[in-house]
Amino acid sequence: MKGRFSPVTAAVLLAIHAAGAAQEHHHAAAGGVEKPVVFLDKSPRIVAFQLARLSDAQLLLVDREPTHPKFIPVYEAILLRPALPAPRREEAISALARIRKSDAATEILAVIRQLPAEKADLAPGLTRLLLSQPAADLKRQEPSLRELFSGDNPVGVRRAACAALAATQPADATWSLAERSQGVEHLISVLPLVPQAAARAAYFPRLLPLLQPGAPAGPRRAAIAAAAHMPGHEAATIAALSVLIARGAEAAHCARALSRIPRERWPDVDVPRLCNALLDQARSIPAPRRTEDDYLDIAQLGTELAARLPREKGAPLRRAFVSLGVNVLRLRSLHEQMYFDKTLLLAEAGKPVELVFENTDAMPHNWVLVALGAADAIATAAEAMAAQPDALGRVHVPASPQVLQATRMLNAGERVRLPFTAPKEPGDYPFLCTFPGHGQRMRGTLKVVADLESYLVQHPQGTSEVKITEWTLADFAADLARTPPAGNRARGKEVFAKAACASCHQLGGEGVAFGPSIGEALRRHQGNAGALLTEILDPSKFIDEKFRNYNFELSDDESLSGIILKEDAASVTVRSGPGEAQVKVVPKNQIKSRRASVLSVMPAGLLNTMSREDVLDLLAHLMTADASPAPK
Amino acid sequence: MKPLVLFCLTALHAFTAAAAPLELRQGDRLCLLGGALPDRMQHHGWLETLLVAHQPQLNLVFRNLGSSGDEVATWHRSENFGSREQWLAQVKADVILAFYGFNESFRGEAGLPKFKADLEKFIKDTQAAKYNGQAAPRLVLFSPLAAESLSDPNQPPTQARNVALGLYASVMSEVAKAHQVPFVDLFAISKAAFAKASTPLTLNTIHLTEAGDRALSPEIFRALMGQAAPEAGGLEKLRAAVLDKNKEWHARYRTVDGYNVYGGRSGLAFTPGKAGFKQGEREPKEPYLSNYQTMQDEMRQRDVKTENRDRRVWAVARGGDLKVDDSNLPAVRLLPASNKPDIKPFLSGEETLKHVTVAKGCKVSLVASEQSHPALASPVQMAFDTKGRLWVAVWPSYPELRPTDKVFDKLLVFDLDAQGRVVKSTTFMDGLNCPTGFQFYKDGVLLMQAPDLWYVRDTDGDGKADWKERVLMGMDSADSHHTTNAMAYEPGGATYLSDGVFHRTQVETPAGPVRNSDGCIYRYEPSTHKFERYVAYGFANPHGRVFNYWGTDIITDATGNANYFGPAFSGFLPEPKKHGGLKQFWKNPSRPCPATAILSTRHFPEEFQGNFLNLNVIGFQGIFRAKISEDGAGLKGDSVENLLQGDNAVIPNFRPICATVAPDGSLYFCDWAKELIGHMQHHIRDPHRDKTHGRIYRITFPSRPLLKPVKIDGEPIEALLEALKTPEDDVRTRAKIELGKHDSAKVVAAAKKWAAALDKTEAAYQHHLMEALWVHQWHNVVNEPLLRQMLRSPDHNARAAATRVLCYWRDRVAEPLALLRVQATDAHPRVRLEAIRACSFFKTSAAAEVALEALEKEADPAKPDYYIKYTLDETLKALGDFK
Repeated sequence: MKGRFSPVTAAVLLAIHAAGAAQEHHHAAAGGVEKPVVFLDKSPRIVAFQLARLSDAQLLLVDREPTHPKFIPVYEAILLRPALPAPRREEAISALARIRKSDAATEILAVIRQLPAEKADLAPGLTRLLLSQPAADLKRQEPSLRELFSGDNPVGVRRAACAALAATQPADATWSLAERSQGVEHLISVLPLVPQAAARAAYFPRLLPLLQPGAPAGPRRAAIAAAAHMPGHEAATIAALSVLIARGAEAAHCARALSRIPRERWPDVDVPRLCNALLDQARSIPAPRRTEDDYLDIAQLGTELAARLPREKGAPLRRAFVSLGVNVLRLRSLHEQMYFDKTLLLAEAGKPVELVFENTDAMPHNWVLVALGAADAIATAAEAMAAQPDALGRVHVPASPQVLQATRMLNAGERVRLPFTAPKEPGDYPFLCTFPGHGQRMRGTLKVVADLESYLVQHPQGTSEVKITEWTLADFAADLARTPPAGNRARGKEVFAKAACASCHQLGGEGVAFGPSIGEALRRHQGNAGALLTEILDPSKFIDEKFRNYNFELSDDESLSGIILKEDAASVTVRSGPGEAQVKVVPKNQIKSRRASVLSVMPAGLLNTMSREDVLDLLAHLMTADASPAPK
Repeated sequence: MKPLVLFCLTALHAFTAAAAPLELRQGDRLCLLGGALPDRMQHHGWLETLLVAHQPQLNLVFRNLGSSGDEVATWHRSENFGSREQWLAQVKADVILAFYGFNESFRGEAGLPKFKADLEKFIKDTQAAKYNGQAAPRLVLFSPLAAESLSDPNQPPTQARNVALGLYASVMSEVAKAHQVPFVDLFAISKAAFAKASTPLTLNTIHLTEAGDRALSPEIFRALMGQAAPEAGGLEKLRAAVLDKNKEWHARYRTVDGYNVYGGRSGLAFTPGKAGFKQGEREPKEPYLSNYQTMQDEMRQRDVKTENRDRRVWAVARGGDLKVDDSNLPAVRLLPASNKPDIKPFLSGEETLKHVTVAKGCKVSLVASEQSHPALASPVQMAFDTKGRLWVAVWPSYPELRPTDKVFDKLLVFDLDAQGRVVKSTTFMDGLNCPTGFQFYKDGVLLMQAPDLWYVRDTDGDGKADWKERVLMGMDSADSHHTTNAMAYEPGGATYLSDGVFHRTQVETPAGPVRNSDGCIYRYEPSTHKFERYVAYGFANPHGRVFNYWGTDIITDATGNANYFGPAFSGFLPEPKKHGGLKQFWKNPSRPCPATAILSTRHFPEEFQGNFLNLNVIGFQGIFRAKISEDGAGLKGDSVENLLQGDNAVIPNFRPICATVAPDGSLYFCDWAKELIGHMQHHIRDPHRDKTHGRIYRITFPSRPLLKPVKIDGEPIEALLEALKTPEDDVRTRAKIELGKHDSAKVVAAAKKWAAALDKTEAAYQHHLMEALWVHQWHNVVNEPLLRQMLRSPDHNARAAATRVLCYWRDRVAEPLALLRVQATDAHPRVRLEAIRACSFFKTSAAAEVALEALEKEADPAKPDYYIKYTLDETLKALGDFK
């Protein structure tokens, strides 16, 4: 994973966000979210009450300047809003540091220290923010970090403190402090968060004894998870976990950890032995539980490893896994990427399979399997549909014989199982999410083969995982500095099509005008490629009020979100997606409430499935393809 | 723009309008559009009578499409009512008389540009339409009336209103002139008429009475026709024919139950012998029959009945007469009588009681039934008047009257003897439709007859109503059983009305139109005509509301039997906002609840005192009892032994629907006595809907004596004030109703004297003082010293109640926010809550600052009192729109 820990200093952040805040004030006045009246000169309880009841969008409109202590509660409130984008939290931390003449690390620690129990979920995010602070700043905090870690503090506080310590001081020192203060498990559990690979790897000698069959269960489980993040120690990790699996200890945890180790770093290990151990563990799970995660994680790793073996060794193992349970196809949505986590699933013609689909994204998604070559037609038909549930309660599933299987629309965090029989005819059956705006992009293939076994022998890679890179602007700094920026325009056009940009944006007079026109964005940024890339990487940073997303609560207990096309005294015209049928005129008397979203309709991670070259090529295409005349 | 200049323009235009702007032709169909002005015209009928009488040979047809609250660009109607244009086409309008500008004028000068644009669009659209299929309608625009200055101190001032109305009238005049549309300047005409009149021509400065309609109609006629109107003398018979026709048309155009006639539930379709129904099928295939099919058949009957009465109008206008013959009505499709064969036979009233159990020590007995009193069919509301007589509204037509019905809903009066037996029964008023709510007011009754609230009186003492005035118009009734009911008095004299879901109410008031969509409770001061949204909340059906000893209300949403502490969510919110979800004050054991009561009577033992009574009609068919106690700033209820329960396996049709404490301290309740009760669950005209049964029962506590009724009727002011010391809530309310008949100056003077002479050592001294303050409020006379005294009363209940009074006097006391700041930091959370609530009405952020002060008194700022937090949140929501 790269790019997650942006090495931008607090001072720079502050400068950017002060400008951002000014823009938000300006925009909000035009966008319908009224700036609330808040009395900041009152007692702390009155100030807190006022701020607590504001929506995220309103809170961002409250006056705030990093100069006066009376704004401290505003910044503190911003820090405790989980739905606000990370840059707002970073801005708040910087401002608090400036007002109190301290540094960001001090302020983050102060927040973590006072985190109310019901906001404990914010601790990992704040810990990441803490770890992204300059090493020198963290170093200065060491005494108080040690005190926080060893003291009788809430789990989130202890973990944040030891993560920071792990990043700054030698492993031995942190480890012995952890031992002294019953914090070993906490320390191990936060190791994956430590950005410096070397700092993480320094703990491997400490972990190894815990990866033994006789080690205590709690620390061992944490160590198993952490062991997947120890660069340079892959072989030892795999060996240790293989032993654990063979002993039947924490087999599922071990399988999960092993799957996280990048495949290119897998050294030659005794695959058949590991594979057999996994098979034994899979067999030990009773049949009714073989659609649960523990079984699936074990079986998936086993099947995959078997594919790496020569046919005569691999085939019987694979057959053995297949015979244990139904073929379970596991699929997730990728957070903020608008992608499934796999683009290829395999099934044997006419045989029962079970799809387990988990929506780990914030947007709704479904999974629709369609007839050969029917993906475009079904995606288009779904766009044009009104959001009326069909007889099975599914929305945006066209009533068409070309729809072979479909789940319901899953909200964030939901999971569904769909048992079905694979099509009788072998072929590449497309699957897609038919939520409007997703169908062009969020796709994959269910490859139905006559004989799964022989297919896997010829194609040992099995299912294909989507590779994710969390790109940041800094990753492209060098490329952007060159003039003209690197990138192949012709390939960029293909990337543009594949990424389905045009299903929401117009470029050169083509595409759907759901989001802002790319040409206009380019003119606004006066052809600055970096600025354009920033808009794609961080779509919520500056939202043009015309494209602000609103969440409406309607009188029939329904909800609706979308951008406001038109508003008059009686009604609001809301467009909830790029499809023409997604424009709805809502009478105002049906609207119970409306909230302006601080998040853009555009997902933040659209580039994360692309390679560096893809991104640069796309950028090259965007910069040059706009042929529409400039507005007069 | 200077108003003076505009007045001159207006006057000039009135002059030019005198040249016969309207030429009427053979068979012309005239439509009236606009708010309460044309809406009221159909009930008074003078202009129509004059126009018909002037040219009787033309066979003119009038169809009034007015509706209180309408504006040129506002058409607030329940679902699928049909647009203005659809209705104009349906009635094939040849001539449109459009009365606009009144409701719009409350937007003041800032609203003029939009009004002008809306008016121009209306003119253009109208001129482009051919509602009669042949030619554009001939349009005449009418300006709003001027506001009539009245000497009654309860009526609002008119000066500022007339500035605004004059502005709107002159803009209409300009627009009309620019588009060459005839214009009648009613502003000038009414101003002159008001100046000339020796008695008031309006009810409330804005709405013409019958006398006002009679006085103005000849002037309007002259402006329209360019010549003097016919003499009104001798036209009474014609006017009666016109009103009879208009009544039929009103019942069609403004039919109650619209949601079931044309709206969402008109698409419910039923089939004989099968439970359940289809939805969204207005035109189902046989054997299904929808509400829509049946009710639209009934609407066609009403159309034909209206046409039959048009012909009588023409005959009378020509000097003859015609007997209206309704034998030509089209048939109505009905379900055959076989879809519910398992209806249990009714037991008699006495037999029924064998299957009813009551709380220990109580006894239930039959007072009256349909057997002893055939008119007692489907009782829905009951109340005792100041004479101790029991009034019962009966609703045999439920869900609503059919066009061919010969038996109507009624308001009945029962005289009772000392043993609670009926000695005489009278029909106070017949010919009603859905009399869901009534309340005594002065010497008469406020009676809900959707879409209007009538004030009805018996002026000659024969026990029957002979006088009525529409005091509120535009209360929607799209679902007839959601029609305003449980009209309870607060201790200070305002009464409360309600709306359920699907409704689109718009009421014109001297302070501007009040609109609401779906559920709401309104506060109405009959003497001042103030009318406002009281609880704007996502109710399904807020049937129940009761005020306890200290004037704290408990509000019940019937459908789910959700019961709420009223003060928390009755602060101001600008329309269309609604309050957020509020917790229920009592864990209800079942639902639904048609009515509630407070058991305030010393006839029952101590543990019954002040109990909240909650009636239920499905599954549990009886009366729940809950003990009320304080819960921080609010109240909470705890269930205790049920007061009464029927065995619904044996008497499934036993449905206690309303209850009230009698002057002798016993508790009376009505039994709706129906097996089929659902409005939605059965076809609206299901043949098994019972229209004949109804019972009244009485619960006593035989081991304790009945109370000696306090004499109210005809008592002098001093005696009535003494009656305010009575612990029973209903007695005090009746005493104040009786005081309402007396001259306010005398009542207030006596109340001051009474308050000063009270025994300060009496346990209820603070409550007596509070009653003195409430008497002031009832008579709309501010007593600031007494208010200030009560705001700092040693009893927190009195301080809370006085804070409520301050809220409604905020425009007439010095520095109300300074007073509220003290209440907001009171030692008791209930007082703080009332202060927070009162702040919501101030429409300034300074009030938000005062409300927030209440937090300083919270023990744990991180966990404020639930109700304090809720109400503060709602107040800040209300004030969020104001700087």
